[in-house]
Amino acid sequence: MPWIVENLWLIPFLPFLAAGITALFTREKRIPAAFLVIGAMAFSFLLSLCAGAHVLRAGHGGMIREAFNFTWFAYGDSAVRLGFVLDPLSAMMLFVVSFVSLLIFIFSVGYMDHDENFTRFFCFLSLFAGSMLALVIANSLLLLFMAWELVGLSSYLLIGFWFHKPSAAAAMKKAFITTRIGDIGFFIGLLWFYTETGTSLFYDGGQGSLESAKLGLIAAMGGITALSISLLIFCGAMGKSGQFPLHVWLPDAMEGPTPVSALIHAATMVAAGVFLVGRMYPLFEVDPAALRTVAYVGAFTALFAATIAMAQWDIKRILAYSTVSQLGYMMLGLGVGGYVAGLFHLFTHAFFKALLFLGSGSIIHACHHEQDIRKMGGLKDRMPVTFVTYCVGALALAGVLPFAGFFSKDEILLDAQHFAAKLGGAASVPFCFGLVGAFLTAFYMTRQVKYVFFGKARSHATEHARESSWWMLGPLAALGFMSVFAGFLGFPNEVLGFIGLNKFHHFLAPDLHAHAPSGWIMLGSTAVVLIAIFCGWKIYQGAALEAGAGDPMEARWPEVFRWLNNKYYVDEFYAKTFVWFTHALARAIHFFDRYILNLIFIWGSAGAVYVLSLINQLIDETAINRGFDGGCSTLRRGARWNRWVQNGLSQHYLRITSASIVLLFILALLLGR
Amino acid sequence: MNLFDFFRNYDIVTVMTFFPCIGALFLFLLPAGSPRIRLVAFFFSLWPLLFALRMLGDFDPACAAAQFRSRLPWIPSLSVDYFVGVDGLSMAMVLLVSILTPLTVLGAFNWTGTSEANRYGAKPFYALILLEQTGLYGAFTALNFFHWFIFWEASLVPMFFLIKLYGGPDRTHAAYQFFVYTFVGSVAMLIGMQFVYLATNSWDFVELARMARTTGSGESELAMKIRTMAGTLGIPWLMEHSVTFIFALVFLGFAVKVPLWPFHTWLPVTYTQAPTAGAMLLTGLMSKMGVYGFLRIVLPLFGATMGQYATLLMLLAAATILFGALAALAQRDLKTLVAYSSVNHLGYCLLGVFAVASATGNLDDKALALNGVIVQMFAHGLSAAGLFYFIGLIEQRAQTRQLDDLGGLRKTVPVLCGLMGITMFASLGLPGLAGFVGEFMIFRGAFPLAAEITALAVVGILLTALYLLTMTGRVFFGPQDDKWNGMSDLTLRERVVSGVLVALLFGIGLAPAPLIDLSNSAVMLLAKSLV
Repeated sequence: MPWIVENLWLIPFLPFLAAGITALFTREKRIPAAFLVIGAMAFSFLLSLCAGAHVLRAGHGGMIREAFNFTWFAYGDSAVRLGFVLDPLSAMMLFVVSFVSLLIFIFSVGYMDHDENFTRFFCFLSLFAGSMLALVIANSLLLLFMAWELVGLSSYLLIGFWFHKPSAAAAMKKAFITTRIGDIGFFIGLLWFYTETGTSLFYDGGQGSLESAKLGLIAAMGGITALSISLLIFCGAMGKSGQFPLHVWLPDAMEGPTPVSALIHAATMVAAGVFLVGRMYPLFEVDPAALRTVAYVGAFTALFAATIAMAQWDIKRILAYSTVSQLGYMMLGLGVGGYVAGLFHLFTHAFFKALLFLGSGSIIHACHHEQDIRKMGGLKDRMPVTFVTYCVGALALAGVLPFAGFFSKDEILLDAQHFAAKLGGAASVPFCFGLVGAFLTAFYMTRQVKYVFFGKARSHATEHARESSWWMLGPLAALGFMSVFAGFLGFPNEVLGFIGLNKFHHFLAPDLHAHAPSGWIMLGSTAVVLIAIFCGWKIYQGAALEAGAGDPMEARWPEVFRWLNNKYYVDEFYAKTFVWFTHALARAIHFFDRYILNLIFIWGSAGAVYVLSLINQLIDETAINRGFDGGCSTLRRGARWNRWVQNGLSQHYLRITSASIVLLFILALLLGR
Repeated sequence: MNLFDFFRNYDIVTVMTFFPCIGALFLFLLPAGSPRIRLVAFFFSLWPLLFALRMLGDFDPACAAAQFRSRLPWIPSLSVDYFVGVDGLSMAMVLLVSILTPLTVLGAFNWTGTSEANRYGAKPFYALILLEQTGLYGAFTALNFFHWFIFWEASLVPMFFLIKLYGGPDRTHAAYQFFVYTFVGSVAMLIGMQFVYLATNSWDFVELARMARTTGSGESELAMKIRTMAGTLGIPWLMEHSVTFIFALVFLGFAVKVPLWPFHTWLPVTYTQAPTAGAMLLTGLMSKMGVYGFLRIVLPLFGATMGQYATLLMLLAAATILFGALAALAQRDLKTLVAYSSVNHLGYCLLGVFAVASATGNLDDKALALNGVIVQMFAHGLSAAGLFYFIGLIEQRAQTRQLDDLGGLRKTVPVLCGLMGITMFASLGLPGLAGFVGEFMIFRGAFPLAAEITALAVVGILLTALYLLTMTGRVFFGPQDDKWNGMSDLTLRERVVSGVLVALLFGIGLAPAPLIDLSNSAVMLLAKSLV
């Protein structure tokens, strides 16, 4: 077994170790903490590169998949086994996670420099990185689930990093609970899948649960087993990746510090749901209905969240809804059969969305924690580096040639179009939603860029904004570079043969056939995006960017704007239904316990004891020994019912025991044993 | 001769069992109010850990039968033997008692000198804890019903007085309610077991379990004997159902003790009114006696009968899990909240126990669920006792434990909140900490046996998260409050107690194999009798 496969565990272990050590640090040890965490992360990044190189080299011309499995514990005549797997998917994710994490850790040194809990922040970040890296290399659904919960924990801790704010305290709980709703489905799916396949491992020399032997077993069962398991596991993915209807936590998660939003709630953790579907793809393929569901959920989420993003004022919330929408795109891509397309979008999105969030962090930091885009404006002259990189990110997100987002989004649309052509009818929904979503994405990004960087400064804080330090600009530049060039890795095969084939596709799934690129889709989507940018540019200029002016869209369609601005009132709906119901049920159960069950059983048992003791007394006084408890009866005389419960009982219990033992002796003697 | 050799030549189980009891007597030799009382008590509660570790070293995990046995005739005419031993089912519990009791004593140092402790002095307080420890050791090592029952009951008495003398404002009511309720269950069980004795002329768990194992087809020797005995009464109907009746009586005793919904209403009041040390022992150890009883008595003796009612019982276990969690969500008092959380968590153990009783299923799944029950008992013992300990610390510092009065504590006492947070997440079933392992094993083992009910019970882990995070949110987070100014963070002693608990929670969560290896052989023997 190659060295790197055997030691793959080191990649998550190093950040875990750093987290464990920094957890014991005091607040003052800021520099050692940052040094340790970033150092561990850098090592993990190097190891991830080694892993990637190994896959590239060994997988030349074919698929490589090597696993290192071990026994966690044995039971009965069986065992629960866990393991790590190195294959193109995990290598790709290792690169994305460790690269983005490393940059964001560096950015955080600048962003969090004034925070008193700097050390704790790095501890949590490192815990997150460790769990996320463990998640992507897990060769076992159980281990994946464990890491899955741990990234949930780190997300919880980091959203609530400023826990003294009641809104942050509420958001952290909401995030954990909402994702756990999905995790209930995931966990049940895990139990079911484990039970049917009899193994917790994905790949185990032909005996793993994702290998053809076991999947054939599941397929042969027929019925809805495969579909049910897939959809239950997808529940987990929906929670983590903010798919409708479990998307509500993600925008609230923006209460966390901005590097956290960039790393966890944009680039890596929220993509874990997409990764999960990618990892479980062989299972999802068993029943086509499973993937179709993924496609429709993704398509709806992509469009739904994009409309909300058009009417938000908070710079981070716009990006958050954009993230939800883009995650929908990835799901859409996977669902329509574009395994590579969905994961390619995950890959490119990680860079440009992290870039956008860090850019917004740079802005927020410069504007003294002002997040309302109505109070910004004119920042393009005061923060030129941030402006340029932000525009790169926005263009990549909008999907403008030649930025990264163009290639991945185009591939998704291509696969969606094939899906529509193959199935017909309602199957064209993902493609249409995807195209409309692309329009909206370009539009709201133009709106945001215009509000933030153009016009005049609309608040005091913005007027005095200064460009951020190089701790922050360095990572922006690196991510900007990736946002421009990462797309070329997925350059379509036949368009320009001399550039080479679609490297990303070849890397991730060499055996899979790629659809031939369609010039019409490229042209069409580019046209849509350019029109959207043009519209946005025209609408948001001049008077619209004056201080105190409302959104022109609001002036024209106030009702629609209000609904979008209030996110279709989904939160309010949940509060009035599920939340209310749970608490009402809790109160009802509490009442039932306290006043009904308590009454029946406490008084019932007291009554039983009373009756028993009466019988006992009768036996005692008539049959066995009249004078035995004469003293007791004087005490008892005149005692009321209440007294029985409050004071007199323990003697009776002891008497019952003694009476029982006496009875036993008598029986034993009588039976002559 | 070294000390270990000395004890090895003696009966190590008996010596361990009565060591704390001797300590309790020794305490009364000290002058009242002596500062040494608590140290002496700590010494006597900690020393048995050495015996337990000695046993752990000599324990043969491959052997399913009880080890370190000792059998002396006691009342020959009633075939009562003094019969003790430790097998895979009890080894983990003996370790848990040996770890948790000294921690409880060490944790109780805080309360010596407070008004509750001054009520009757420190001497009886520690003596009662030590007596409780003896009762627990006895109940976890006895292999003969008769003297097992004596310890089972004897462990009630010190707890009764701990609550009655040192508890909260409503302590008298709580103590009596606790005593009455669990006693009714015990009496039912005693009556049931008397019939078993009359039918079989044996109190011996090993012997009875052997009789209960079905050989080939048809009913077991035990069932046959019970029916024959009932037949002498001449009522056919009674004879037909005699095994079920006896099962029901014995079952009731344990169902109250654990508790199973709807027999749980004594618990919140008792736990709330008990002093912190009492609550730690109650939830950490005494509730385990009930689950242990299911493993030691009900499953081996009445497994087949229980199997007939497995669906109903599993539904009750699911109700325990879900209703316990929902009731916890409605609480405003931290202690009552964690008390309900105990109901919720023990529901998982019961789910495992009832699932394996069902007639279907394969051996490995049952072994997994049963091992899971033991891991869950161990994990819950640590995490629940830990939570009560932390609540005690908060109450001592803030003079309140009402959710609505607390808030923003994390800024003031970060170490306390950090360690309590870890314990809370262990209780919530976070992977990497002990709670997850037990829950996963139980769910995974029970799922093939009863998928729908297991899936229903899994919803419990969502509700658990809901009430625990609500609690943390209320206590730790929110704006810093000036009224907590001057509140001190954990002292060294408090750090030791909570540090040991947290370290164990991590240890079992990451590497549960050593714990599971201990119980696996005994569990396999039990599981084989249920297939």
